[in-house]
Amino acid sequence: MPTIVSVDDSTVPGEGSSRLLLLVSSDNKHIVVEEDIMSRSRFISKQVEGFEATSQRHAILLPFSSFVLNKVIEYCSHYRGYYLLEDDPDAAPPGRSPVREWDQEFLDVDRNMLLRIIKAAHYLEIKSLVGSCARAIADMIRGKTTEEMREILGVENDFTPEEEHSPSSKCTG
Amino acid sequence: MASLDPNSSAIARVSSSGSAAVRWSSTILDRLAVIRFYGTYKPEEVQPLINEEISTINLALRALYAELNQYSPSSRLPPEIVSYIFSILSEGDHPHRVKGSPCNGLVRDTFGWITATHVCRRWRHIALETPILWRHVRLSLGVVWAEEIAKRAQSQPLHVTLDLAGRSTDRSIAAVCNFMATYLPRIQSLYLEDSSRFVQQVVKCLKHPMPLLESFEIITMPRETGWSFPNELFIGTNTPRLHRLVMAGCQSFNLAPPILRQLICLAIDGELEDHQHLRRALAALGEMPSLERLTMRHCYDRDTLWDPPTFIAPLSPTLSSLILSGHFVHTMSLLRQLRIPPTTRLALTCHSKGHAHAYPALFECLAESTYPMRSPFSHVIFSTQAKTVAMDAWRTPNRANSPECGAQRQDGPPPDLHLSFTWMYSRRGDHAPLMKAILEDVLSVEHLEDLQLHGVESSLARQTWREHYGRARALRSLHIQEHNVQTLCEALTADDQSPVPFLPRLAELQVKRFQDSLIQPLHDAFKVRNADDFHLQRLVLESTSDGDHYEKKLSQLRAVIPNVICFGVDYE
Repeated sequence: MPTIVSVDDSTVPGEGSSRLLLLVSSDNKHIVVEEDIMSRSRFISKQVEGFEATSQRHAILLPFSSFVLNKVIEYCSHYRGYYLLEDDPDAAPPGRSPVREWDQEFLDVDRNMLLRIIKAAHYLEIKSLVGSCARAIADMIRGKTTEEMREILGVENDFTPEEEHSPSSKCTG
Repeated sequence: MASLDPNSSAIARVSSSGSAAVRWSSTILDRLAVIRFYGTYKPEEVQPLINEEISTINLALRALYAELNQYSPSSRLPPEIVSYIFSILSEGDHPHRVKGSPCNGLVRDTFGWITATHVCRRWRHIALETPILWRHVRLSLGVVWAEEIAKRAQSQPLHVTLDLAGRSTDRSIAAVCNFMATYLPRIQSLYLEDSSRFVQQVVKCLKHPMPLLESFEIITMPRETGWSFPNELFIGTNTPRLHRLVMAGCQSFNLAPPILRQLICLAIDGELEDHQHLRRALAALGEMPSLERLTMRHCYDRDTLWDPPTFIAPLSPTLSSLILSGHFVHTMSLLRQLRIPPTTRLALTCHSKGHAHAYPALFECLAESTYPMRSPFSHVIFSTQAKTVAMDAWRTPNRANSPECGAQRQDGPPPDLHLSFTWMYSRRGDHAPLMKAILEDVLSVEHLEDLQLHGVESSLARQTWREHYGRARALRSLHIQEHNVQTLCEALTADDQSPVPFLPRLAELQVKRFQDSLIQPLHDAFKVRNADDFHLQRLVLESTSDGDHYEKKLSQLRAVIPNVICFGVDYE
């Protein structure tokens, strides 16, 4: 559950059609964003529904940095008003699809940033962004050897020698 | 001021106990002292003791690495994201059948994603706990592994492939039959390819309900010994969901009516035993109200050149794709015996075996058929070894039921056709003028979306291609051989950076007979282009050697084109 704190109405001048949301990042940066932009996030939408039920508006505290949050907002702003199949909860899952062209450029960031974005997207329940990030990660490691993958992902080999040489303990023989 | 970080005190405790180097070296020295004390005079006692110490240290090391991994951002990805990455990787794997090299080619292609599960223990654990990843069972890996994979899939429907390419033994087939008997109720798709003797043995195991079966492909290799599809298979409601059936090398056609009514896709490849079976098959086509895709390849007896039509089989109005393949006379015969709905996309693959009149005759036949030439004619594939072919064969006017259609055909293919074209070229020079004319015609089709140039003589193709490729603006899929790559690369890297018309829409490029020497030109050609200029989604490379041979060399190509798939194909 996210931490929600009450905020002054003057901080969030969200009234009428162009309502604003106050998002607070883990580094305590306050970011005001139009609700419409963040409607792609199922998590935020649910929070807003909660606000409407209690007729109180709150800031939404998020467990990632303002740098990552701004990237997510950039993504949501770009696709504002666009219908993306992946984000439609009623649509069947889209099968194999390439990373969208704009997304490729957007996700041309270093590994750690990419991993932070995908975690943030997962937390915010933005399926289209999770999908694009996952495809970008998959493309990074596709066709590589296990050692190369470990290097790309920054992971150490933590299998015991027995596990490494025993077919039954791994996924294939 | 004390830190509020709950981990800081723990870290402080570890730090206060001295440096890691001092602590571990003193521990090792202590252990060595103990070993030396006990094993001073007996080396055979010392060595196992040291080995045991090393094993223990290795275990400790791995435990430390596991701990370290917990702080790696990759290791901390939620499990559902990791399994999603696995599923994306498995989608990209290319389940191509590679004749003669199932271990080197096919297994790698199908299970390449598993490499990612070996990254660390956590990723492996997530893979093992994601049943949906284990739905594809390849019996060529051995029945023991097939059983293991089927267990990991838990209750997921299975896609089972048996492609032993003639390496089966009675013993291995017995094990396969046992596997089948156990997992029949869970099989959703089944692909069998082996010698007819072994395939028949496996098929005998299938006479039990397969409630989930949707797709069944049965291919006997080699096809010199035909066999009959058992009548009792698929009787009643054994396979209530079966809608796709591919039969290659089967000599009979005795499917029960309930199955016929539910089929959506049917492919018959190889000669049926006699014309009686062929007629039965044609008659059955009229009993398939749901049929959407039909392929008939080489169904006629190869020694019989002509089979006068005895009746006309009406095809279902739902039929969207019809592919007829074989000798042109047989194809013409089939064309006369089938009533093809006007909305069907028709593809013809013909060979003429030295008959000069093949092309005009085929177009005459098409013109006489009930199939209107203004239909979404899919593609015509000609393979010819004829010595002379009339230049105007391709341009034969259509005398179909609509006069204006004939007018459209006068100067080549109608402009609104969705056309794809595969060109098999004989090395005989006297074909060049006709081939050039055909290629010019095809490239001039405004909506040409799919072009396959196979076996085209290099200089001719290069010249015609260079002169006319500018017209093919709608091209989405291009299949070429190695000698056409250079021409394409030249166009892409031209000094004037002139736009290549089809480049923005081209989604797939496939290169046959790929070689090392093409990596650099392809890389340079696409690198020099602005990323916004092309949207290539897939580069498929078929090489004559095993795909593994190229894997390490393809990294530079992948830096420019993300989705590069390479696999080996036995062109023989």
